[in-house]
Amino acid sequence: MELSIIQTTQARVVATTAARLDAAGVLAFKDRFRAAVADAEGRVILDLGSVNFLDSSGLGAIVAVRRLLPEGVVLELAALTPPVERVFRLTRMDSVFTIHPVVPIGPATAH
Amino acid sequence: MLLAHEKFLADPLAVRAALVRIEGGPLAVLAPAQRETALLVMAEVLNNVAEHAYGGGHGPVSASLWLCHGQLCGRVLDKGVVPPVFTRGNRYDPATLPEGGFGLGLIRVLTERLVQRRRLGCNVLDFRLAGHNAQDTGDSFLIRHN
Repeated sequence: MELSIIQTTQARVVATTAARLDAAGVLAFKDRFRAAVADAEGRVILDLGSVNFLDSSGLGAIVAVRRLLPEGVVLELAALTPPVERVFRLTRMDSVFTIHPVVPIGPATAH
Repeated sequence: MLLAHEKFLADPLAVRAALVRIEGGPLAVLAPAQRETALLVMAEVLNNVAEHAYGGGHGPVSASLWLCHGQLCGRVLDKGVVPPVFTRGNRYDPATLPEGGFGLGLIRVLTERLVQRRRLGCNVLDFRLAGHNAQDTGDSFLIRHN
């Protein structure tokens, strides 16, 4: 589970690159997410646009990584594919995250 | 009509590999929503076997999916310890941000028949997927505050 990172003027966008976020990949996801947001400020947007399969372990990992954020940093989600959006809806976790239909892009800055 | 039959040693990577084989094989002929439901339920059941029945170790598991009168049915067999019961409890309040417990709830909400039994030293789980109209409310997950 590789993650790409783009720092914009508005947020740090952390994007998945794998098609699956499942039990086999959650430990790597958590480790890489932790590194990606260690010095983040303000908003972190997790771009899940590459993920077309999310199981309960993957969902639990997304909930859990909120606790890895520096104090005061907020996690938002973006670009959920239909199967992923459905898991959020079925579990009602769509009610606890701000979810953007597409990544709200601002001007990128060096990171 | 049998759609898929897989035998492997349960661990998360083997579960992923089995699901990829199933997805790219016979299930490719199903409607996307039905295929996604089948794969998600099978993933949750198999991960439950790996995590609970075998306690994170390796053990044999057999997984089958078939069509019966237009509905998708499945059976999973393992030789582990008796896993958690799927059909009761496990509700939560989303506002408390639980980090686990989603799997059993997903299985429950996406199936309309779920039978667990112990037979000849094996755990046997039979399920039938819920119809589309019954799937997407998510109500069984909620703790209601009245």
